[in-house]
Amino acid sequence: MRIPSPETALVALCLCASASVWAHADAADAIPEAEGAKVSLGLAATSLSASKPLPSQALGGYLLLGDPGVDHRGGQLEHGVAQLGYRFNNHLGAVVALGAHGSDPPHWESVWLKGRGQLGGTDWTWGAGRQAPSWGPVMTRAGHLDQFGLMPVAKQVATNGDWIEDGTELGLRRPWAGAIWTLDLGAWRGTTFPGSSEGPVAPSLHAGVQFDGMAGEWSIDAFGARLHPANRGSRITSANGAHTHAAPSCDASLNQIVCFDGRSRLSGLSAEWTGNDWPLTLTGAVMWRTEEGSLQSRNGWGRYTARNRGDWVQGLWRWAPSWDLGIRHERLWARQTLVGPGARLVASEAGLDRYAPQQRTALMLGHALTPWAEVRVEGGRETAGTQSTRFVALRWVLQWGHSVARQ
Amino acid sequence: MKTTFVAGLAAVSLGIALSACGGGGSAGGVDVVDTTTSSAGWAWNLPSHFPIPKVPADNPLTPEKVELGRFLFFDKRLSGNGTSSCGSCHQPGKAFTDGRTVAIGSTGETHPRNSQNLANVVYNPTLTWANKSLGSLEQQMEVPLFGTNPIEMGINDINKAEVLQRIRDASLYADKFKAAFPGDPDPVTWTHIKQSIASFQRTLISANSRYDQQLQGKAALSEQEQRGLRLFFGEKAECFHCHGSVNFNDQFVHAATRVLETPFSNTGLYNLGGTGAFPEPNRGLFELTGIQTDMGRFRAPSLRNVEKTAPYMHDGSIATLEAVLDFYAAGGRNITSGPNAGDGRQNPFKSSLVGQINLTEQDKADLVAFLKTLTDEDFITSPQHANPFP
Repeated sequence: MRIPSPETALVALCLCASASVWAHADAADAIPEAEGAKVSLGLAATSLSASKPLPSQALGGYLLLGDPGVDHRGGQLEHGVAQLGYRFNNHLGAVVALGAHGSDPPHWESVWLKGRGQLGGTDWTWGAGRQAPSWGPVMTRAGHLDQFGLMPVAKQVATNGDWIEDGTELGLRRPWAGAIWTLDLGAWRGTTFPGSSEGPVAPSLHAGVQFDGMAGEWSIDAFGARLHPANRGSRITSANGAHTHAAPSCDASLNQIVCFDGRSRLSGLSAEWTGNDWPLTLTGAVMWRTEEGSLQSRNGWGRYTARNRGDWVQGLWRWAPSWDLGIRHERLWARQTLVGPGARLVASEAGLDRYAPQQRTALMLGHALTPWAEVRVEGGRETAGTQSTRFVALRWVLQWGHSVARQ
Repeated sequence: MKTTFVAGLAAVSLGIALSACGGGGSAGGVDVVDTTTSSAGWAWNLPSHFPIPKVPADNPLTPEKVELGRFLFFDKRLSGNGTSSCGSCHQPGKAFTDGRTVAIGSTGETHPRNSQNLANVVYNPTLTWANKSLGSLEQQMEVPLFGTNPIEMGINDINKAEVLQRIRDASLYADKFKAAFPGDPDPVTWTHIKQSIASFQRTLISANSRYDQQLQGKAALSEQEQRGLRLFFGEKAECFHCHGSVNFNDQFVHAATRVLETPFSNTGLYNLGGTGAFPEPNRGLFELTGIQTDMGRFRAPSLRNVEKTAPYMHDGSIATLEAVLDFYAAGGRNITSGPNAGDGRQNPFKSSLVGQINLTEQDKADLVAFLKTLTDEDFITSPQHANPFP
């Protein structure tokens, strides 16, 4: 697929504005129901204050890409997205979405062609292109234009932030036994973390159910994917302070790189309850990245196994139409082993010797100034091992969109 | 009813998942088992970020051999005229350098190059400033002992037997050679001398600087030193490209090395007449290969104890760390007059990693502060590294 440069497209997309934004949302939300176009813009800007860089900046001790991470302190673009959806007819639509974070270059978040139909009482969709594989709403929306500003550490470690891939996905949706059941089957190139530029197609599976029960509306989702990264590199020393998704390749040189070959399994489970009579939403999610294979550098080789696990629970109380109050508690830890000649230095190069379990607790107060503008104040604490860092953030979240029906 | 059942099941499932069922509890941990086989009979006592060094099978380390090597290293009898030892140019108090611009041999002849730091020399896959083929310390010993251009220790065919006899006659060595090479009826040989000194050099491990202690959680770096560390390992100052290994250089070998790279770099110190040439006889790899593109290419030295190893560069032509940073920030050196005139910044053979870098005065001060955290006082003052002769 030939895709124009993000910079060019961002300008074009902004100029064609003529109605809401769902960053990293699936194509169903981005493509209008009626024939025509839907333009959406979303922007979250943050001013964060902390005495030192947050431990979640680089997540030392967890095998990622070796990026030093972006220092979230000060003012910055948390996330910006410009999205254009278009429905050609009742069965076919498309969406393109361009996103940007901080000072990182803009990137394509979605370039997706999607068909839909019905078969024997089951709604089906089929899409192809670039998009985040379906995880279910809780895990998908966490971290972007969300009630809380910081990406959950569970998601950071599982997929280095958002997992956006090229591939195809078949979705099935069917009401049964008083609930709506969803099944998504995907096949992806597996080229972004935890995948690598080399490796076979990565299958994914998402199953979800939505229903009313126990005085509220439930949404429960499970997700799994299997990847076989080959020559997936992690930088040994900090490189450029940016956040990247493409792993450095080990095919030419092992200079300043630690390389992983093996199997990587992603899995997740989430549940959300929204009260019918109470303006309360309770959420819980847990994510795993389990890896098994070899880890090598110029300085050694070892058999590597890892079970990274993160979770969070969240409560959100919308106590007035334009006010909400939330609390989120997150945990992250890993169990890793490396056995082989030179393993000590390889572990050091991969940063595993800096491992510490992490926790984050945040309290948030949000106010909707207009239907498209919100201001949020957030304060909390991150803990890595025995080190603790407090932070306070002021966030502006703007979401605007407009649909134009085809004449 | 069914939905209530599903909800209950889901809530229980998530509850179980959110509890500490992740394996290893909520603390987790990292287990590392290094299966590198070590040199038998030697306890390295290294911190976890240091790999086990490579020791040749035909010269295993023993305490007796290392001790003998220390005496020989500092013994002036081991020079042609009895005036110099290895320790003359490699003094422990100066991190095994001599503080001179260039070294001076036993006969007073000036060496074209600056004495090298021997800290962690066991991890160097190539030795001296620019010689790809010099790979073992035993082999390298022949350069200072028997070299004639320049003369270092001044041992030659005429005095070789006399020097060996001096060692044989020294009473302190009789037991030491027997202990180091048991079973050999005549252990005082040039081969054993080279093996002993090489063994001593292999034990010159510098791994307890404040930087190392910080990595182990035993010490903390100041804010300025941390800023310097981030600059050092970041793309702004780019130091780590050539000084990024555990030993702060880019040639690094040890017992578990899988891929060995031995880069040499031209940093733009000279550009005689705009031709890219360096002053003779200091033209780097070119001196041995004759290949034009090897002009001015030298091995990046370790920055361990760099605070103590001034002056800097292969020819000692830069006096201070601050001046070295100015040199790299400029992307090379422009010499406007004299026999070495030429703009090194424009040297056609200069490494692409050496370009103009915008470093503020604060950046430079931060980098110097970080570089000083690489000083290992234990290494410098260790009795095991000290000159045994008064």
